[in-house]
This record gives sequence, structure tokens and C-alpha cells, in this order.
Amino acid sequence: MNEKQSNGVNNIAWIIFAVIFLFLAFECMLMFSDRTKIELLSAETEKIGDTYQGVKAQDGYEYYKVTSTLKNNGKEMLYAKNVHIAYKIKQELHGTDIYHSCEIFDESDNSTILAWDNSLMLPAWKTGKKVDIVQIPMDNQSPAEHYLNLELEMGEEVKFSQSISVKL
Amino acid sequence: MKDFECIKCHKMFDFDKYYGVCPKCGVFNPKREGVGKFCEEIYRKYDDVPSPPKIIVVTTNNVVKKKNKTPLFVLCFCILAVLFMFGCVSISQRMMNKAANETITLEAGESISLKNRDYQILKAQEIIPAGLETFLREDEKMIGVYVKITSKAGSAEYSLENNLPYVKYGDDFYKQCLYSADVFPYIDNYGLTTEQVLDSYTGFYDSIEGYYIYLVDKDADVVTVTLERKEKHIGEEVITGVYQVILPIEERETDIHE
Repeated sequence: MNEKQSNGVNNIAWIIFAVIFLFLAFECMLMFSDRTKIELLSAETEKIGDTYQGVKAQDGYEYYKVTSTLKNNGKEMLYAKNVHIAYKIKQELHGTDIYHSCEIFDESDNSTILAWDNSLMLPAWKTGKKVDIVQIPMDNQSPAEHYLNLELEMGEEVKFSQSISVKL
Repeated sequence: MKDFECIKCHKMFDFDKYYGVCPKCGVFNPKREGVGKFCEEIYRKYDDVPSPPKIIVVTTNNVVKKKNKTPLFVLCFCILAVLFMFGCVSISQRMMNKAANETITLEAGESISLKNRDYQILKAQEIIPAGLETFLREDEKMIGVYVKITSKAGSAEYSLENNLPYVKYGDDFYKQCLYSADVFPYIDNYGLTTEQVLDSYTGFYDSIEGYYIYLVDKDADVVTVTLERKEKHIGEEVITGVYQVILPIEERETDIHE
């Protein structure tokens, strides 16, 4: 293989490298734009009590209404029901953070409420609100402060997680 | 007999003994007059051999290197291409964001022209007040937004899905309209017929009018009804503007037919 041939092979290798690099950069860019599609800006909680819509909470639990403010950075409208937020109670015990998952009140289980009302939505490029009724365990024995940790999920799989702590 | 001086290192050596190759520096000395017969033969053989390829001598002081510029070019191209892609995405997103927030506020009854349809958003009416029915949440009421739609194309329209109005109430709560089939069993008791309820699958020819049904907070007394203007941009529909009509929610006093 002479010098010219060797240079030719090198050039082809570099071009292949460039194509792979640009492809990966493009994929990363799409992932990045998908990641920032929706943002959890803030959240507020409001105590409801141990009964909601005639349904009693489990023993040791209380209902809270959690109103989250979300920013839709995408170009398509999103149904709030498709934006899943996982709620976890954070407790600090002996210097260690312990998380307990909280159950979201599923209105489709309650025949007294119109199960089809999932009409809360987030228009493209707008900041809107989502409401969830969450059962939160009340540890009356511990005087430690309760913190609700919110993790934002997209679709059925957790594409990314975003957490905001809310003091109850 | 040391009878020859090396042309490079000037060492004296026996030319015939070393066949012209300097024993000190190894340089082959060119032939000269009066060398022996054997050396003549070697020189002749050496002359017949094709000249070896030129060797570029690389020294620290004098570097002679033939550079391949392709890697540098490819790297620069990649960096510029990535910056260009990010720039394009950023600009495009900023433009779409700006367009989606360009809001035109209209009065009730003013005509909104979208694609081949004209929309007139006329009024917002309470249909089921809060606290009357157990199928509604305690803090919600059902309202209807009366809309008149005229088809400019004059042909059958079977789907309004791309231009469904949504409402905003309270502090950034947005609601999409409910499907008419879902609300039919409940609205009958409140004097609303199925023909009076619109949804995304309503088919019509020239014009149609009726209520889009929403559930809003019981304390909401005003709703902002919004329609998005969408246009095709590089193969996909993007929002190019937003029309909104702010309507007070009329309390239910009489039969909705009136």
C-alpha cells in the first residue's frame, strides 16, 4: 500500500467517524429536547382529611390534594393524566433519609365519580396545573417533619426524573 | 593499507578491505579512479540496482512532514454541524414558543377563521351546578361553551379534532372538552339534547352549533376559551397563534333550551 492509498483509507475512516459522530450528536440532541419537554416548576399541598369523595383512606393515611405547576416546553398539547408524578414521603430518621411511596387516589375505582374526567391538559408552550389526590402516611409517633418528594415521569416509562420537595 | 579518506567522517581506511564502506560511520563512498577489479564489479552491480525511494530525513531542527489535513477538516466540520443543529433547534423552539404565546383576544361572537372553518364563540353557560350530582367532584361544576361553526369549504366535515377549543380558568388550569357520548346519560336531566352537544367526532355539512362541555372549578365565574391556529411548517403542524375569548359563566336559571 503506497502513501496515497494509505491517505485515502485514512480519509474514509475520518468520514465514517464524522457520520457516526453527527448521528450520535443528533440523537443526543433529540434526547435533550425530549428531556426538557416538560418541567415541574413547583407544587403545593392542601390537607383534605381521612375521607375523599366518600372513600376513607387506609389506616394511618390521610388525603392531600397536591397541585403541581408544570411547564410544557413541547409543541404538542399534553394530557395531564399522561404526566405521571410519583409521590414519596421523605423522612429523616437518625440522619438517614427514608422514602415511602404514596398512593394516588384512582378515581376510576370510585364508581360515584365520573371516571372519564381526565380532561385536565397542558397546552403547548404553556404553564399549567395538574392535581392529584394522594394518600400520605401519617407517622404520629415521630415528630420528624414530613417532606413530600415529587418525581416526574413521562409516558409509561421513566424517561427522566425531576424532584421537588414540598413541606407538608 | 589505509589509503582512502571517508567523505563524511574523514577516517582513513583500507578501501579494498571494506569495499568502500567506512568502518566508522558506515557511509558508502563513491567509486573512484584506480580501485580494484572486485570493487569495480560491486559498483557496477550497485549502479544496476534501481535507485531506492527517496527517504525524507526527519530531524528535530528541520521537520519535513507531509500533513494529512482531513482529520482537522472533519473535526471542524463536525463541531460546526453540531453547533448549527443546536442553533436551529433553539431558534425554531423560540419562534414556536413566541408564536404560541401571541394571543389575539376577541369579543364574544367575533368570527375566528381557521383553515376552512369559521368559529364564533358565543357564551359560557352553567349546566350542572356543583354539589347537585354525586358523579361530579364536590368542587366541580359542569359548564357548556356555545360555539357556532361554519364550514367555508361547503363539504362534509367529520372531525374537528385539530381545532377543539380548550378553556382556562382559575390559576392556570386548562381543560379539554368532554366527549359527548360520555356526558349524554347525565345531561338529559338538565334539558340538553344530544344534538346540542359537540365533540371532536361531530360530523356536519354547512354549519353546526352547540355546546362543548367542560368540568371546571365550582368557584370559577369566568373562563377563557382558546383556539389555536396551526399551520404546516416543514412537514408538521405548529402553532402560529392563539385566539381567546373571555366569557363570564352564566348561572343556570332557566331551562337551557331557552
